[in-house]
This record gives sequence, C-alpha cells and structure tokens, in this order.
Amino acid sequence: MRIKSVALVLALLAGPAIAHHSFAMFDMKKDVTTEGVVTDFRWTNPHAWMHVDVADKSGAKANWAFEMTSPNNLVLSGWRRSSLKPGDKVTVTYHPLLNGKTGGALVKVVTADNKVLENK
Amino acid sequence: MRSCLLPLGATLALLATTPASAQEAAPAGGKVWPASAEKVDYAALQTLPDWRGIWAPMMGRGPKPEIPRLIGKYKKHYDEIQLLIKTGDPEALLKVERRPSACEPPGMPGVMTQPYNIEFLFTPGRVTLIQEAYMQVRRIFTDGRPLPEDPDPTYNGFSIGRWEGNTLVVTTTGLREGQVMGRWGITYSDKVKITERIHLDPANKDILIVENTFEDPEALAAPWHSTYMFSRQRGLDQLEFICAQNDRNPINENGEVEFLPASQ
Repeated sequence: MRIKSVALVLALLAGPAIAHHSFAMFDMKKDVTTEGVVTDFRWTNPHAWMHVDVADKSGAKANWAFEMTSPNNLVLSGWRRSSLKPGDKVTVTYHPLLNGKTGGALVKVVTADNKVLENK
Repeated sequence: MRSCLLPLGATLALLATTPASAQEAAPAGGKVWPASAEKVDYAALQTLPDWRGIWAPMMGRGPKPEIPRLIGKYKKHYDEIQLLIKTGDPEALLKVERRPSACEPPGMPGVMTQPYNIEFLFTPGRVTLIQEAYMQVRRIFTDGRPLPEDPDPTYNGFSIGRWEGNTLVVTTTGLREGQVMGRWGITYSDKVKITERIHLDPANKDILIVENTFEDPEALAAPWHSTYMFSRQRGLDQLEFICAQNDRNPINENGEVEFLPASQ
C-alpha cells in the first residue's frame, strides 16, 4: 500500500487501525488471476488461509499460500468453513507478494460451479 | 474423598486453634466499591440509554482530524514517520509497526479503532466494552471510585466513567509509554489522560459517537482531539477471535511482518 498523498495521510490520522498487520508486503495495485486445486483451507483467526497447487507454463506445480481476512469478516461476505475443501478446482485472484515468493493476499475465488467468494 | 475427611472432633479442634482472621475470606483488593457491593440496584439500569447490539466502525467518517501539536521525542518520532511516508516507501507501514507480535493488541485508543465491532454491557456501577478483535475488554467503573494514584501501566489503562444525561464521560489513565494515540506515529507518554464522551447521535439512534480528548504534559503542547463513529447492527453477534490460533505472520528481527509459505 503506497501512501503518496499527504492529504490521504491526514485523512487517516485518526482512522481505524489495521488489526493484525499491514499489507505492505503485497503489491496491492496488482491483481493476478490463476487456476489451481485447493490443497488446504484453514478457517482460523487472525486470518483464514487457503493453499492452492498452481501449475506454471511448463506444467511444474507449486503450492501457493493465500491470506484472507478473518472468519469474523468472511462470514459477512457469505463464506463458511465448508466453502472450500482439498481437491476443489478454483480460479484465484490475488495481490502478489512483493518478494516474488509463492503467496499473496486473496482478492476473490471463483469455484468450479461459478460461485464468487470475495475476500472482504 | 472420604479418606481426606478429618473426624468431626479433630476438625473442631483445628478450628478452635486457628486465628479468627484466617477463617474469614481475605479481602483481595481492600475497599469494596458499589459495582461489587452486596447491595445492588438493577433498577437504576433502566434509566440508561439503549446501547445494545453490536457497533461496527464507520471508517473514514467523522470530523477531519486535527494535526497534533506534539513535543519532544514524540514530535521527533512523528516527523521521522511522516518523512518515511512522504518518500512513498512501500515498507513504511511495516517500519511503523514495530511490535513483538502481530497478535499484540494496540491498547487504548487502538482498542476502539480496530476494523471490528464493539459491544457494551451495562451492569450496576460499571460499563464493560468488548472489542471483537482479540476479544479485548475494557472495564469502565461508574460507581464513583477515583482513578488510582499510582497505577501499573497497562494496554487499556484504568477507566472511570460518569453519566451526564445520556452521555458516558470516561477518563482513562495508567497507559503504557509509547502507545499509539493516532495513526502514523502519534504516540503518547505514560502521563497521558484520555477523556471520551460517548453518546448516540441525536439525529440517529443507530449511530454511536466517541469524542476523544488527549492530554499529555510530556507529548502534547495542547489537547488533541479525534472522533470515532460506529453504526448499530442488531442482527449480528460477536464471534470468537483467538489470534494465537494460526498466526502465520511472525515479525522478524527488523520489525518486518513475514508471510509463512504453504510448506510451513
């Protein structure tokens, strides 16, 4: 999250704080969409997580980690602990880690039956 | 268990030789204040405003915040962070957030500004505030007790309150040096006093307004004010939030938040 505007900084002076950590480690201006297979879905605090096997152009698989907000917030967006399970084919959109490693902040998931689950 | 019981005669003999003071429950904290006293008046709660339901933060709402008139090392700290932010450093936020663990709660007033809801419980002589994030609790004593003279500094401090009509006026002291009173490097000393005026919006009973005044002889040249707003949700309840359940964002030796890969 790049803060370039002083006005924006002032607007945030007394604003609500981030609960657990900042999202400076992610490129929040970049959305990447990829397909994969869920290997793990952790319905936990302070964040829910999903791990997804993603194949690159050569077919080599890597296990990616996607961080979400908390179950407390996700339930308000229609998620349940049963929303995903290992083996589910998904299309994932995420903000990638700035360090280039296999992880990101989830934006949304589209399931095989075209259900859209947003991370908010 | 039967083998643990002494014969009646032996028990009576022991009682007879035990000093009277040891037979009575030892007073844990000295004076008993009305919030915990034997005599209780639940009817008094009927006169208080209806703050039931849970209150979701209204981010970005409320009056434009003031620029704080910080002094001493608190101004230096603030200026350093403002400079960092102006450079557009993408790591500025991480460098500001130097905490031993991302699960460490923020303390006052951050407990009021998490992106999670709060709720209020009224009992005689006391208001209890619960923040959903990390399930943090504030105890606000409204039974006439004074602020402690030499409190141990704590994250949420010690709070006393009084009702002025339908406004709860809360005074908090006993806070930890260096905690954040506003975002982006606005910190306070352990001499800070926070006064909150908490009330419903006169135009909308489903909006709660918290007006803060910060006074700090070591960090502020003049009182600093901020306002938080919340909207009432009657159809929801707070959910459990245990931060240690699966904290996959450890903080490294440089104060940076990490991200555990799927393999860990």
